[in-house]
Amino acid sequence: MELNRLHLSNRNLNLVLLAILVTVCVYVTPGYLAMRRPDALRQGPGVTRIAHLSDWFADIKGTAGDTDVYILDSGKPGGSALILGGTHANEPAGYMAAILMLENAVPLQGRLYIIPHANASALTYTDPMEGVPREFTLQASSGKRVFRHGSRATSPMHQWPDPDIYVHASSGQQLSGSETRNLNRAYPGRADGNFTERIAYAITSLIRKDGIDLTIDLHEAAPEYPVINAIVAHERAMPTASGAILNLEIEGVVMGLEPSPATLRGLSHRELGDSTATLALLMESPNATQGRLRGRTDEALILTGKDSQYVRGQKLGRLFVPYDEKGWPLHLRVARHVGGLQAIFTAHAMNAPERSIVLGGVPTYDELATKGLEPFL
Amino acid sequence: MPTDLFLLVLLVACFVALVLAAKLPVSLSLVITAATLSIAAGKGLPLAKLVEGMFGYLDVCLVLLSAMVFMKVIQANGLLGELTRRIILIFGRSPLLLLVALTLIVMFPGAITGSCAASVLGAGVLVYPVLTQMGMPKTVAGAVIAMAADFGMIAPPVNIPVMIIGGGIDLPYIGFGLVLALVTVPLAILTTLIIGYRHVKKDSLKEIIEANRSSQEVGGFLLYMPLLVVLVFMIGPKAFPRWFPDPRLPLTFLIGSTLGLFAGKKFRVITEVRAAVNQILPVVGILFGVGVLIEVMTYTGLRGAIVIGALSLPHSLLIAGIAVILPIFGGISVYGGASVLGVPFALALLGQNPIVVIAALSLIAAMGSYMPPVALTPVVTAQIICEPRYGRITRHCVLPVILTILVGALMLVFANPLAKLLGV
Repeated sequence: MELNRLHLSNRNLNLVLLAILVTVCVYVTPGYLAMRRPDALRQGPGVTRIAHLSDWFADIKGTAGDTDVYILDSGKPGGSALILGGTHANEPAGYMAAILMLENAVPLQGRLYIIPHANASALTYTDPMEGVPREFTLQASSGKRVFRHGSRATSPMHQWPDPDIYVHASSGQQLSGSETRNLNRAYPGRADGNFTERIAYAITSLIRKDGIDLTIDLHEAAPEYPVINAIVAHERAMPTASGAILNLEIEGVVMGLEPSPATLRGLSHRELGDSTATLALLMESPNATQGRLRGRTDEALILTGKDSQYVRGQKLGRLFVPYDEKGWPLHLRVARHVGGLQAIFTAHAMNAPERSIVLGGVPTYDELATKGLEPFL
Repeated sequence: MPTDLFLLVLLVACFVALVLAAKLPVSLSLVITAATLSIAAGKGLPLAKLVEGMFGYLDVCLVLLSAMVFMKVIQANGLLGELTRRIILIFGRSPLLLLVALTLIVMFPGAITGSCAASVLGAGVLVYPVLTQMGMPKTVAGAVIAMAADFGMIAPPVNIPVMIIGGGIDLPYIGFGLVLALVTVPLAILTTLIIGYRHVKKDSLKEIIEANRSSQEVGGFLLYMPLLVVLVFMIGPKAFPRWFPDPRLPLTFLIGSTLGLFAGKKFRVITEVRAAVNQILPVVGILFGVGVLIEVMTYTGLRGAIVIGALSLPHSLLIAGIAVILPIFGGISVYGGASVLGVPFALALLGQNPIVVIAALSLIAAMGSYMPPVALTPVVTAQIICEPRYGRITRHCVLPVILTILVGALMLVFANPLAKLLGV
């Protein structure tokens, strides 16, 4: 292949191509900028205050890292829990479960903090070369609801460029440079760190200052990833997690239990458990849209999880979760998270009754699995 | 709905027709192929996706552009010539020692940055004149540089494909250094000797040394400042990551280029910068086009179909499949191949020692940088040696590439005994 033929020599043709390129870029820009508009979330009956993450660490005020913190306070003594959704904005069941909780839950005992978009910056763009949709739509009972679908990491518009290697600040662990923008590799964060580390620091500060008993980080994983349909727990949170798994089994929901690896640093279940008094847990559900084996990548894949390539992957024994033609629809993945949250709260109440968090108004796993998300949004 | 096989055939046919028959530039052909693929898959013309895909290699393109400017500056101010002279004077007595030293010099920037382009553009430009003075034809010298650069990318301390694959299976980048060093350094030296040793004119070395000794020194210590600063900014953040600020490669090269203006011979800055950009722009264009094509392949599901096809191989053929498919996918992107195929392959080999397996996968994946359509390492090397056909470089690399893939495959087969032997 001749290199000197790799560019066009015709000046007029070059100008025409440049004009086409500029026109296309201008045409698509509004769609790109639209991702910066926040989703319209409904304030549920249990929400007593909407704070900002910057209230716990003022340095992020006015930045794309600041995000709403919904507080549901029963006014009665009890424990406190923090639900993190949207740590990875390409894992929609995580943030949809958080949104469903804030729009439905009514606290009966204790306090609940919900951050539906923990990394708000990651929701403002989609990753190049991943072909994912920017949003998905649900015909909810309250009307048509459009939710953004973002990326795993902080937007490069807010933190760029990545170093060649990412060195986790407190442990010195080295990871690929792109992980520099991954909130779930940045904990416990640094007050003087990079943009993502400061978001992590703000969340850690919230947990410390408000004495959060339980922190649950809601995630999704590719079906070929070994830790899936599971609760990952810090060692101090293991009794709560194992109790929750038993509670889920009673409901007919099979959930795995994974101990937080001591050598894998920067993750919420490891660092928040080590550096604060909170019981740190993380939940994973199966999401084809972020997987490497996925076929057509569109809104239908987010909503239905139906994917012929993953069905083939299952037959080849390459997956860590059952996968058939029914797929893993979004409402079922959210049901697992919401059911898991309730099971964790129940187990925690048994282990520490004086620090109970009791919620009403939350749909059960069965209700979500059979009726879908729409009646509850 | 068209089948995945039809879409794959259409993709290849469309690209080949545009490049070979219509004689369009590779970059433009990639974009048109992507658009055709999307329309054929019933997805219409997704303009937003086409634009989004272009940003896939933005960082790499900035590195290439800034490194090429740096190279032109140090060429124009005399630093490059002076360095060549010094290398010959220091190592010139033994051709074997000289070749080993030159190989390690080329590997160094890649080992520090994890980028083969950094090796070619940072050190290859220094080594190329020495190799040609030793008697190697320019494409042979280019092949030596390209191969050493590729091994540099895989050598410790920074191996990005390993980090990508490890990240995909939650394995931290710990304990890889010994395995990677033991594989890459001997392979790199052996490769240089296989490709280049027979071309070295031993008798002419004395004359070359004498000629260089008698030639006039240019500039003094100040002349070396741009290179020293670039090296400090490359090594510092890796050696002292907790306190040394990392300006990243593009800024590092631009700082080096700016310093180069104040030392050595005077030259017209604008002329050199324009020449640099003109020289590297076709490669940048290809990377933009590849980003668009991968975006559409993912969007239409063709990428997943290819990955599943690769994983469908029976277990007995899995390692052979890895040895063939991983480098082919690397023809689009070594990093992309590591992410899209390397992670599933690593998961498929979970029973084996993961450190040896992932090190081997990264070694095999790196050989993909010789495959079209991107063929990044020989294409960038072709730019620095002013060779219009990168295939003339690649043909000298065929045997070492096969040898390297074979070594990688053997590492996969014997991962557990090797791990035991090395204590990893």
